[in-house]
Amino acid sequence: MSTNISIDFLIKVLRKVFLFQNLPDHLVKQLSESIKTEEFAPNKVIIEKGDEGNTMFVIISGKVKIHDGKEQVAEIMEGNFFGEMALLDGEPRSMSVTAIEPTIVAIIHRNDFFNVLNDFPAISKNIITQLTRHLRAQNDVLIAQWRSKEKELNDLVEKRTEELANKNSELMLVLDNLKLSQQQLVQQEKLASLGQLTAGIAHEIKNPLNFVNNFSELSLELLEEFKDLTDEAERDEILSDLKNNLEKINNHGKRADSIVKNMLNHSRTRNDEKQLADLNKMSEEFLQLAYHGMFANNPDFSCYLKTSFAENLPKVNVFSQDISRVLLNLFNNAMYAVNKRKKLGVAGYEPSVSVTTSISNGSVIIIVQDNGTGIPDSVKDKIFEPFFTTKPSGEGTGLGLSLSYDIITQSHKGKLSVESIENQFTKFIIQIPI
Amino acid sequence: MKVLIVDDELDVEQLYRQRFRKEIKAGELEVMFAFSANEAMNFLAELAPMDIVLVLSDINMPGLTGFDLLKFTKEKYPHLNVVMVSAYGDAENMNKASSLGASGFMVKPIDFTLLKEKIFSGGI
Ligand SMILES: Nc1ncnc2c1ncn2[C@@H]1O[C@H](COP(=O)(O)OP(=O)(O)OP(=O)(O)O)[C@@H](O)[C@H]1O
Repeated sequence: MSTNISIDFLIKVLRKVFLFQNLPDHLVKQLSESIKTEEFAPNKVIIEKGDEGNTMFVIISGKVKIHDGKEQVAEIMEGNFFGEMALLDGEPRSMSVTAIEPTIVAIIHRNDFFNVLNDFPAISKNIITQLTRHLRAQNDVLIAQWRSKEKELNDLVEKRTEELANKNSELMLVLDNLKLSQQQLVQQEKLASLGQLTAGIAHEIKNPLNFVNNFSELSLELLEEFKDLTDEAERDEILSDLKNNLEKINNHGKRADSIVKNMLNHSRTRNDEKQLADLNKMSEEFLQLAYHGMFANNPDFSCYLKTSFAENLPKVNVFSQDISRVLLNLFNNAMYAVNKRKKLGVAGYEPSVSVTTSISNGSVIIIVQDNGTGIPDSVKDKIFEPFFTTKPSGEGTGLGLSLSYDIITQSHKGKLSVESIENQFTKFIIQIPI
Repeated sequence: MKVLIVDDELDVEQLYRQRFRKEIKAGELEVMFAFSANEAMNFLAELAPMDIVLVLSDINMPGLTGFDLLKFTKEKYPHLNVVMVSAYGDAENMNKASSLGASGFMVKPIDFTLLKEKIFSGGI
C-alpha cells in the first residue's frame, strides 16, 4: 500500500537517519524525490530471506522485527533502516523482516542509492560503521542464543542423566530381586530333584552296603573255618575265597562312596572349579539313580536300560555337579515319557531308555534316547524355555531343560539339541568340547 | 533240591554260593542264577521237566520286572514256589506280590539263616 507523504516530511526523516548524516541538502532532496513509501500491517512480511535484494528500507513509523525463520535477531523502530546489506553485496536477503506494528517504510532503490554514493563518497564511512553495528548486534544475538541453547542442552543432559541414574538403580533393584528369586527357584528345583532321587540313592547305597556286610560276615566265618583246617587244598580254597571277598568288599565300598559323593555334589550350591570327569561313569551312575528313583515312586514302573559307551572316551573338564544335573534331568524326562506311553496300554510296547557316548570333532557326544511319548513339533521350540512343562500342575517346574540348556551352552560352551517324532522317540544330544 | 536265583546284580552269585557253601558241598542244594527276568524265563523253559523247587526273584530289575516273572511263572508252572525279594518293604509291593501268587516276600538285606530254614523245612 503506498502512502501520501510529502517530500518535506521525507527529507526530515532521512536527515535523522544515521546513514545519511552529513549528506548535503541537494542530495537528500534528490534521494527523497526518488523514494516510494509503503505501509505494512502487523505480521506482513516486508522482505523474505532468500529473495533477491535491490532495495533498502527506512522506517518512517512503526516497528519491525528482523528474524531468521522463528529466530528473532532484532526489533527496530522508526529512524532506522534495513535491507542495506543485500543492496551492497548483491547476495540474496540473509534475513526476513516482518512488521510488528502498522509500519510505513521508505523504499530506496539500488540505483538511486548508488547515485548518491557516487556523488558523496564520504557517506561510505557511515555505511561501514552501520554495517559493523549491525553485524555486532547480530553476532551478540547469535552468541546469546547459542549460550542459552547450550545451557538448555546442558540442563537437559543433566536431567536425562539423573533420570537414567534413577532408572538404573531401580533396575538394579529389580535385577537383585530377580536374581534372588532365580536362586530360590534353582534351589527348589535342586531340592525337588534331590527328593526324587533320595529313593534312588537309598536303593543304590543299600545294595553295595548289603554286599559289604554279607561278604565281610562270610569272610569272618571263612576265617573261623580256616583255623581248624589242616588240609592244604581246602586251606588254599578258603584263602582264595577270602581274597575274592575282600576284593568285593572293596569294590562295593567304592561304589557306595561314589554314590554319596555324587549326591553331595548334586546338592551342593556352588562349585567353582571344573574337574576332569569320566562321563561314561557318570552317565551309568545317574542312569541307575534315575531309574531307581523312578521305580521307588512308581512300583509299576519298569524300562529297559541300554548303554553304549565309547571305550577310549577321554576325561573332560566339567562342572561335574552341573553335568550330573543335566544327565539326571534328561534321564528323568525320558523315564517319565516312556512311563506315560506305557500307561496308554499299547500291546507289545517295550519301554526303553538308552545312553550312548562317542567322540566327534573334538567333542564328547552324549545321546540320551527314549521311545516314549515324543515331543510334538508344535512344542519343540518351547521345551528349553523356563517354566514350560506339560506335566500336570504341581508336578513339574518346567525348569529342568532350561537349566540344562544354560549349563551346557553357557558354562561348557557346548550344544544341547533335540530330535523327536511323536509316539516314536525322543533324542537329546549333548555336545561338550574336550 | 534246586533253587533259581534271579537278580540283576552279578555278585549275588558269589554271595549265595558262599552262604550256602556247606549245603552245596554236601549236595543238599543246587543253586542256579539268572540275571534278568527274561533270562530266568528261558531258563525255566529249558529246564523242563522241572526239578526246581523255588524261584527267588528280585523285583526291581531293568526290563521285565520280578512281578512280570512272577506272573509268567505262576501261569506256566503253577506248582513252582516263587519268593519275591526287594529293597523296598512297602505294603504296596507286598500286596502285589501276594495277589500275584508269591509264596513269600523278603526284604533286603536277606536273613540267610531264615532263608535256609524256610528252604529246608519246606516252610515256603
Ligand atoms: N524325553 C522327553 N520326551 C517327551 N517330552 C519331553 C521329554 N523331555 C522333555 N519333554 C517335554 O519338555 C517339557 C519341559 O521339560 P523340563 O525338563 O524343562 O521340565 P519338566 O520335566 O516338565 O519339569 P521338571 O524339570 O520340574 O521335572 C516337558 O514338560 C515335556 O513336555
